[in-house]
Amino acid sequence: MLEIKNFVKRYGEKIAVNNINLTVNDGEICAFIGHNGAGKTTTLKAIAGILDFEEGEIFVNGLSVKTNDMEVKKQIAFVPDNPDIYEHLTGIEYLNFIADVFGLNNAERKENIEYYSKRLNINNNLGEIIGTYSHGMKQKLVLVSALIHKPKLILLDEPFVGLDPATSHEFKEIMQELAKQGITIFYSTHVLDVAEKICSHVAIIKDGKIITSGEMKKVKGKGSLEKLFLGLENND
Amino acid sequence: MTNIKNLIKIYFKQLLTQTYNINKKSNNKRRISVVLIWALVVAAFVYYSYSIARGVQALSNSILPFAGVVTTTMFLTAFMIYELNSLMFNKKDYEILTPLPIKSKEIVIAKFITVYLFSLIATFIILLPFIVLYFIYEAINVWLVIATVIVCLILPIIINFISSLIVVLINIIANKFKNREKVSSAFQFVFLIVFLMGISVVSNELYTYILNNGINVLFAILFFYASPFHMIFASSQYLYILVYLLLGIICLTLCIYILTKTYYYINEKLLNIKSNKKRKPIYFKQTKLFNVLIKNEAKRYFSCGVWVANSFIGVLIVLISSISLCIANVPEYALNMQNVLYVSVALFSLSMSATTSVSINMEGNKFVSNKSLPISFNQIVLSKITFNILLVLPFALLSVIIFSIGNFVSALTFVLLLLLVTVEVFATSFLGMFINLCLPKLNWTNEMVAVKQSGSLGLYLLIIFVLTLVPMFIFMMVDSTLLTIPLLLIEIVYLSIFGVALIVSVILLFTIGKKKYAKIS
Repeated sequence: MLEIKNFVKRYGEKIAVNNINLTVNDGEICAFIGHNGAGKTTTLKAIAGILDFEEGEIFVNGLSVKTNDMEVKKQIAFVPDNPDIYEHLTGIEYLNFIADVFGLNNAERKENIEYYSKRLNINNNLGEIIGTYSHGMKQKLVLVSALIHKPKLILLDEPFVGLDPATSHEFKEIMQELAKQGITIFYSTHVLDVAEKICSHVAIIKDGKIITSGEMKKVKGKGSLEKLFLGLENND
Repeated sequence: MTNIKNLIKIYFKQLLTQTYNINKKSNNKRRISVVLIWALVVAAFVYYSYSIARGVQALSNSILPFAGVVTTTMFLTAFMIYELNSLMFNKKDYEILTPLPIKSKEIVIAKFITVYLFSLIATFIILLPFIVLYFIYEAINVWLVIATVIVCLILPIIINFISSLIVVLINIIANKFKNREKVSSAFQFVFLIVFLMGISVVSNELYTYILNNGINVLFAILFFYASPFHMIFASSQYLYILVYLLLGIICLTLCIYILTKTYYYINEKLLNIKSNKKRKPIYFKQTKLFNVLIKNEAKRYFSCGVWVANSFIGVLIVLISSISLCIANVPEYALNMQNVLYVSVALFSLSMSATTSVSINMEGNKFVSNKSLPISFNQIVLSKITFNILLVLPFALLSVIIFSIGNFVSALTFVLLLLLVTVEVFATSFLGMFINLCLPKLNWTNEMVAVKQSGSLGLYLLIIFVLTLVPMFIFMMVDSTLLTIPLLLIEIVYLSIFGVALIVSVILLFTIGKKKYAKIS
């Protein structure tokens, strides 16, 4: 589903991501782990088409992000690290806008919005203006907006930040259910024990380079993901 | 089409909430006060346009339509550069929309239509006094009315086309620099000054030349947006209506094409943080707390382009008006009117420059956590007020000095002017601070919201309108030409008003304001 080949991203003279290669297959949940400034958000934004890049290629479902951007965007959903959305709209206005963008008919949008907003416990606040939402509520709304059009690849940048324990638990359930349906999830996180529990795969990035990746069980071995990560981080 | 329609709705709501500070939840009281504020703003602009039109009318009625289009274009271009830049090249909006399957062209069209509708209203406000005077004093027929309607519809397209070219150019240049925000703001100011000065400096000389010699090829090219309109009115060549329509279509097509081509390139660069390889040295030096607070306020101010653009424009207008009035060739009988107008423009513009009306907002959520630090209320508010005074007062005094030297005002008038702007800057600084403490907006994710979408700014502007413009309207009711009302009287009246405003603001700040501060959580 997701194939990153020799991807390089520079900010001026600084190389943010340096020649990374990664493949995430259908139905896999892949955790993308790294220290602050390692290149996680840059990579996710490049896949989502937000950032241009100089070298390499990124394919989603066999389509190039560079040359088939519209087709790719129809198949993905991206949740940024900060749920910075149109503050002046109500929750339902924002969700309807997203549903319009993806061409969801009335029945589909009603079903999906009601289903996910109930599960993430935001259904009672959809009539309120987003500017009055707390950080967690905005995060829930953005997560709902990412799910309603049934994307094939979901890109999440630290999705659990700001979520209350109940919603956090529910979203983990949703992630696993979606993976079982063949949907691919690629997400960055600092919560290693959660990643260890729900992810089938992991990729660790350090200073713009992927230092290890693969099936979770094989990568971490008998130890914990935290132990592995700290070991790799301290190993210069 | 659905995407364009939805986006227009979103941007329109955004502009309404940001500019007019009203949304679905606003109560009637808020709506009425907002309508009142904006009615006063419109009245001020109509009056401004009308006063220019009267000046042009003194030359000849026949030049009014041309002058109207030139004035509208220069005035609106100066402001549309800022509006287009903040709407077209917006990091937050780009990050929301780019991962979605919406074409750049659709986004650009939606944004263009939004700014077009707003500039259409502004075009009517500025252009109409010129045309109405022409219709009253020169001639009116069906063709001229049709031509006026078409020009009113097409001119905003041309203005936005010119503004777009400048905005794209500014952004392409600014992207080459590490401090792109500052470079972009600097360029926007330069263009703002150029266009605003252009209205008063170039116009009279130009209009006299055109009256005597007609429009030559060079002027036809330079003023391509006004020349066909002039031909319709001056020579009754109604075929130029078609020329104007064609011009509108060409400008619209080019504008959408250029903005679509550059939309992704410029916005994507906004996300690129250019790192400086040379690291700044770390120092450990004790500084007085009050100085640090002023320095922090200055850094916060200059790092926020929206805040700078919103407040510094007043300072620029004051400077421009004083320079323009030194250069302008005003007949002797109208000198008193000119001086009185300078005082009202200076006071109103300086009031708009008060950074304190949103300086608490700009602290955001940090403001509450900063309350846990051992910094007193006095230190916090006085540092913000001091910064505002340091920022605005030197320009205010400079403007008065330029104006006084250029117009040979008496020593007493000069001293009173210096005193007046000083008291006014102090009064508005304290007033802005008090109002912001009463109506803080700390929960925001976008600086634009903190600067533009706050009740404190709305209330502050309403009070400023009352303090600066209402006395002027009363003076005009006494003498509409302002030729007989002595400047000294006007200075003394305003000095009294702002003197009282200063005393009241200081008392309110250190009594009610202090209590409001304690309650902010």
